[in-house]
Amino acid sequence: MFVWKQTFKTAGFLVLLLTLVPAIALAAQSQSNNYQVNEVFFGSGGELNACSTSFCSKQSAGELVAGNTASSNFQAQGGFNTDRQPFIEFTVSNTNIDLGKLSTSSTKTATANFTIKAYLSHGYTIVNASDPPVNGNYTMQAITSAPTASSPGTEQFGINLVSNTSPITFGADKTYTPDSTFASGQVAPDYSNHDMYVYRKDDTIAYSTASSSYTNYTISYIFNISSVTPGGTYELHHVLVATATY
Amino acid sequence: MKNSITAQLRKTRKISYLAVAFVVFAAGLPLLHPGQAHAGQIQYRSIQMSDSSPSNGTFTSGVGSGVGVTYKVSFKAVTNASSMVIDFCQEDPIIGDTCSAPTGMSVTSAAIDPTNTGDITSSGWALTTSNAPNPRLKLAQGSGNQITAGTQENFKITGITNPSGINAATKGSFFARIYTYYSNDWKDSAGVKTYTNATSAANDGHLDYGGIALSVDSVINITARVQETLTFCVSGNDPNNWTTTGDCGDSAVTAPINGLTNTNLILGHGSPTAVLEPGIIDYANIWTQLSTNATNGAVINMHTNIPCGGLSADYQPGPPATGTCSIPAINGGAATGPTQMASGTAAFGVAINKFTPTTQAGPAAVGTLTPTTPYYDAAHYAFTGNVPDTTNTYFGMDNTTATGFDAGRTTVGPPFSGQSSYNGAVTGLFGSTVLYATGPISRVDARYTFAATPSITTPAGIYTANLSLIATGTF
Repeated sequence: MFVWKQTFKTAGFLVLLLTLVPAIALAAQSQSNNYQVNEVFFGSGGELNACSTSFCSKQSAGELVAGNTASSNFQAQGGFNTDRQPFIEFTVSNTNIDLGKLSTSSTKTATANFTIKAYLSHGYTIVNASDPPVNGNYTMQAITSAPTASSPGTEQFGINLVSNTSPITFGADKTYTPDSTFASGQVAPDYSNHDMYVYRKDDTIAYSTASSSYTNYTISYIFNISSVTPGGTYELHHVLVATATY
Repeated sequence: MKNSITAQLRKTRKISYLAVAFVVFAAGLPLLHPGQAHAGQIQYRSIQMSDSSPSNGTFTSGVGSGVGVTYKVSFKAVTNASSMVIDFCQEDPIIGDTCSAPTGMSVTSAAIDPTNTGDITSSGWALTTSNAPNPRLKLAQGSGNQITAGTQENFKITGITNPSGINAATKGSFFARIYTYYSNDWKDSAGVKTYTNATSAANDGHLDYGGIALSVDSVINITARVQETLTFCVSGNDPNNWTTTGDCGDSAVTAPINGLTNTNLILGHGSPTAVLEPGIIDYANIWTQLSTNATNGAVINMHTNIPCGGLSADYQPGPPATGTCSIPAINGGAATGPTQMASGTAAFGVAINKFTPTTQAGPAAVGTLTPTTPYYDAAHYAFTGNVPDTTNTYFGMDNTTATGFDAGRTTVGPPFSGQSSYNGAVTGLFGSTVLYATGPISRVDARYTFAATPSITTPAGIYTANLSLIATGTF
């Protein structure tokens, strides 16, 4: 009788133990009806929604891995504080620039910045959605063939997303926040050549192929005019469209 | 005792196995639920916008306005489907969560792009839209194909107005939730459950589901100015001799000829004082160069001070102006085109054309000037170097076309572009158009060959005319 009780207690403990483990993981992440288990964890503790009446926090302890891992078809987010919500965050700064008067003898330059983070995605693309600078009905000649060096006296509009030393030192290479472990944005090949510029509407200028934390890009613009570039005010309303695939 | 312990351990092990089996079975039960086995998450899903600008910006149309935006929807379904819903929500892309409208977003003008190919086309599917309680696109199969499992669907929806601002909480992000349905009226296979709204979509019988994040963001505005320019010069020196810079800044442009201002032309022959003689046509050349970045081009007008358009020996400007016109404009000042200058008939005229030097210094000319009808006839413009064949070179001097800046125009603007038919009288307020360009030009030269001849009855005297060449750009 004693043996049977001991056996029953042992079995009961095992059942309880085995049923508790999934209960911990599913409590925060399981999806009703579809029974998705998007996230599991292995470690000594953690909670995505630890809330008091006023505040909530994400907690973790004993975390073994963190970050994104991916094959060509699948990917996973490691770490306790992963989120089940697809997300894209795209911010543009330095959005109003006045270059003053253009000249046939020198190049005018400008820079603008954008930052993107796309989570739970198969990556993102940043696309040029705008025409080159416009003066009334006239559109400035953009460098639409191969990336080309700046040439004062020749009508040119172009950009790249890297640091440059010609026609002056300006621009910057991409940076990652917090670092390349978490971010993976890339500059498209035609826009990654130092001192070479190009601009095509609908081109992808930057991208990632997986979920990525913040990648900070700097756009370098060049403006050159010729003696027959029509006079007037040129305006570029540079629209960048960020699209993530989930 | 040892055997008893061993037996207990065996029993414990067996029960443990049973417990594990039970847990595994229990965990697998949901997977056997017939209502859920076919549902899945659509893969490779995205919505690409043609314009990511907020709709409340400075611009009201076109790229940068956030209005009339096309959304390209892409996804790969797990299951065949005949209808679908796209809900746009401010909060998140999670099915069944609260869904409020992104501020300012509107889909009521949305339409299926008629250029779509593939399964979801404007002819094969119908679209209904609503902005309440959140922007919503409902698509239903008509005569077109189903959404096909495993096929990457791509279709465009036009006419969407983006959210009007960059939401501070989501930093510009907003979300789409896509659900697909068995029937073409958003119901499940039993025809019982149906789509109602975003917050109840988790249990509405949909087949596949997927969430997408989108973002509106600021436009980068760059302004640059190109100063309007117009450089025009007149010279009695052939541009082939402008050897320094080759443009209007070249010292040769204004260099005196025989000690005289080089734009003082003397028509005649003989020495020491050149004179006109009946039966002989005398000529002299001047050149101009025009550079301008005027968007709509430029014109060069010629304006004379002699009321008849010819040469006068006794003209007095007055008022009132007095004087005779013994060497009149050729062909009575007609505007019909250059004519041959006949020996024995007093006449004054000019033949004008673009001029291309062979040795001019500096960059080559860009663009062209076109002579107007009264002053150039391609069939009768014969030169050897700068020397005209006066038999085969015809001359003109328009003094009959209605005068005034607006002569010949029936509409306002563009005022000069392509206006080859406009030729005011050379005596008009703004003169007669002799050359024009339809766009910006640089360093383009022209040659003006003035010719005169007297009749046997032409009174002796010193005949003059002051002619002004005026360049006007239209920017």
